[in-house]
Amino acid sequence: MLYLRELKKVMFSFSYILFVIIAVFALFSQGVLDFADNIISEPVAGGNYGAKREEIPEVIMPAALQSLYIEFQENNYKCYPVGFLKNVKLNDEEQMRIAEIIADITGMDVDEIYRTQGAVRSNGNDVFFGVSDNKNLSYAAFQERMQEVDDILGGGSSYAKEALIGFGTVSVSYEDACTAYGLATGQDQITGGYARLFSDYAVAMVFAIFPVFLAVIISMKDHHAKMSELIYTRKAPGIRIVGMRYLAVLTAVMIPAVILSYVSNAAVWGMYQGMELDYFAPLKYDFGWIMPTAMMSIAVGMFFTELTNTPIAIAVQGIWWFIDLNVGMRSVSAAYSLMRLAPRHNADSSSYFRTQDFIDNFSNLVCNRLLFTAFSILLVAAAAVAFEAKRKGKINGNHEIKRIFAGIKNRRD
Amino acid sequence: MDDCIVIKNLNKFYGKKQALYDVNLRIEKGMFGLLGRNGAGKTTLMKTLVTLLQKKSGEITVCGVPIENEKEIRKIIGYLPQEFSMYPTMNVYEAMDYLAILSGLGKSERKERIEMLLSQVNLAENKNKKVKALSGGMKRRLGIAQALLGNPKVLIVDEPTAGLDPEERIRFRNLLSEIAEERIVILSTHIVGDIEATCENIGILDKGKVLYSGTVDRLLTAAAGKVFTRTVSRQELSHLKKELLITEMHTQGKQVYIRYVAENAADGSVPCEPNIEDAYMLYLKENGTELTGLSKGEIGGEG
Amino acid sequence: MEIMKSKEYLPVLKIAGINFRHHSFFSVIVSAAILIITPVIFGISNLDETAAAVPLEMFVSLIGIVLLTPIFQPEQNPEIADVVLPKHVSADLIYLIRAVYLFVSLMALIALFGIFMRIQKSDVPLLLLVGTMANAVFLGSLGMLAAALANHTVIAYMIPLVYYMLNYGAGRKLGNYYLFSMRTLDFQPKLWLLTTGILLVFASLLIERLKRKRR
Repeated sequence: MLYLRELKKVMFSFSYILFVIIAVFALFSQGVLDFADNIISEPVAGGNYGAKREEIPEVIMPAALQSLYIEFQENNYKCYPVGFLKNVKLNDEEQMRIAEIIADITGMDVDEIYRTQGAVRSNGNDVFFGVSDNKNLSYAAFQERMQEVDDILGGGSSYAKEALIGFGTVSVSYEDACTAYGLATGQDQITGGYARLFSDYAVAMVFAIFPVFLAVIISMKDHHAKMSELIYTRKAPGIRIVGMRYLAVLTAVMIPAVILSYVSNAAVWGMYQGMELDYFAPLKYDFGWIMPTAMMSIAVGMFFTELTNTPIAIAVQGIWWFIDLNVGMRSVSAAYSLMRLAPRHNADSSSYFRTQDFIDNFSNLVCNRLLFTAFSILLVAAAAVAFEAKRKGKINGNHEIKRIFAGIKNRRD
Repeated sequence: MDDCIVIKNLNKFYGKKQALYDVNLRIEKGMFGLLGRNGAGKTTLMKTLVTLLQKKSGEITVCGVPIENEKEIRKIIGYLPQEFSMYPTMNVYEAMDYLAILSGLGKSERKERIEMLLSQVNLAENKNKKVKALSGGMKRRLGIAQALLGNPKVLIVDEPTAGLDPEERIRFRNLLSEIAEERIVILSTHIVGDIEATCENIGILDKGKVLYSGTVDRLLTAAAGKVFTRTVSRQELSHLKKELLITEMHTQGKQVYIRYVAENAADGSVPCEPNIEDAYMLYLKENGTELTGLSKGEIGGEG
Repeated sequence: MEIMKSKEYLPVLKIAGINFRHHSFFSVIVSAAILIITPVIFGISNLDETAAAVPLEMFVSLIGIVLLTPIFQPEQNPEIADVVLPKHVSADLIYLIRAVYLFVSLMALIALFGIFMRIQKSDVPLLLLVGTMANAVFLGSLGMLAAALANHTVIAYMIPLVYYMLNYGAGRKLGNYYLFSMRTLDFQPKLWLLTTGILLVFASLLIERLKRKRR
């Protein structure tokens, strides 16, 4: 059977063995295979339960405004459009607009604010009082004005509507801690939280990027071994050859995922004796969380390799992974936005046990994962179309690209 | 100056597997044919001569230069591998120019020599074509041209006529003969016609050992009186196939005409002149090689 | 006699030019593309020295992998190797020439990017660019080494990438081989990375040589 043949081809290759070694090594070095340091216990009254972010306008509004005023005075706004610090400097006109917004919120005089630019760094207390005076300002109106600030800054600032929550830091109460513990033991049945943490790391460090290598190598193999013509002339339709190959790589990639998820998860089973554990949690997360990303990574590899006969897919997936990883790092604990390659649930310590965040954002995660699954299948279909086109001699791999480059190069002669 | 290749007690291993056993050969100016089945060690021997492979033991000198002196050896040899490619982005002229630089040719000399070689191998009009776009015969001729870039004293060509059409094959043989007038040319082949048409001296290699080295005539003499023809019925053929070393057969109606090699003639046989193929088969047989008549190794006629 | 004399003639620049055009042009284009998208991912304007170090050592240095790893690729096709290796000019020299011009390309690309950052009013002293070069050479040399050992360029890309990722997790535990030290203005690791990188480049050239000698 074609599928088994392809699977054997993948699993007995040097690159696959290297992939498994890398997976074990990467996860081991991140401490994901042993969670002994991450044991949760029932909260005791009177302890410190950490901090959390909550959308409390009374906390957020003054804090945000204070921050904005300081940045306005220095004319140096910290933005993170793609995860990395971008220092934004505004021109006079834009600074004036920011001053107007501050004035509008606080009821202070625009010119007075505008003049404080470049002044000795204040702590922003003057505006802090200003906002307290303006009792008429609704939170919705405040959000709207802050969003305008974010638009002026080009996005990625702390003032964006969804980022404002970052100013709402409050400490966790004993009751909240008890609720969280209840959800972790009930909804997640303990193992769910650990499986989530494993998936968080596994996807970000391994399955979002390394499967692309296997896909590129297997797709280039025919060409390298001069087998292309022999395979093109077979009866099997392109969708079957490409599809089976895809399934084979996916199977090979998922085997270490499943094994390692259980290695990681089983290590904590003994720590929660007498409690009801969900022994299928790793499996649910393997297929629900990890697999769609692996599917995408492999699909990108196969598509670009079939199309160009070059390993350019590695650069494409590599850059996507890099951006995604760094954006994900800045996100709050449930980072499942629609286009997120590697969903994150690991922003603060023991945040993976924040079951409530997971429940609240579960529908986002489902949409994201379904989208990735669908899009990867689409890419595989496109790879099959490219395969068929090459087979019929309609396209010739990177021939066209090379012709363009050759044109540039030959001009020098 | 010493114009020959001397190989003494050459041994070559791939890991633990021995590929060449105590090879002794002396190859003089002119064409030298290296005959043997696939896997006999022809390519290994050739690659060793062109410094692509390292020997395990023994001595080789090429025109007086010991093989260990790779730099000098590479100056005096040209090599055309059996399977070869060129950089896919280069066209014929670019590839030749680059290889000429690597052969140590100067600028003006390069241009002159490439033009000369390309016209000698009839590729002057294709110099702007991509190597990939050449036909099998053209590519092979380009291969020869690149091997001759450094004006080598020794040219080594591995299975040069495999896969060529009859016309190209004859053209190629003539080209080689022309080239061999002023240098040593070693060619390996399993096509007897190549040897007959071009070589005076041959070596037969089997399972890594030299079975024969000398002139074609001497090989033919050894087979004299041991080659016969006979006409048999189809029924007889199947059991004769097991008994006789058949070197040729063709069907004529219900009868089959066969040509075979044996010490004594069977009934109804007519003795005939041996050709290289007969002699070669006999030589293999006498040296203990398992042969099964017409399914005989890789050697075969041109047809 | 005339031929003997001309055989000593070796147009190194011409060899470099042909190799660059046919074997490294694509890598340089991909590297340039990576540099072009850098400002999309990172802020590169108005940065002080520590902030400027971030895009340089974290992202710009990745072009070392793109440029250096495929250095042995053209001759990894045995059918091409059989034509090229028996020629008078040894493969060692060709690889060395490639390594040198790739170093120069790397330096040029990093320098151009540094100038661009300066135009964008970032504080980019020369030392930052040297540190970026050190990272790039080290990562690239890991790729070269892997390519020489595995004889497969695509597999080889994985190794420097794994090492790069290790720096996210293990971080400072890597000591003098920590890639992201410049943001704390610690330049000592860069010296180690650069030296080791250059040594690894020569080690991989040596491995390629030994591989040929052991055939």
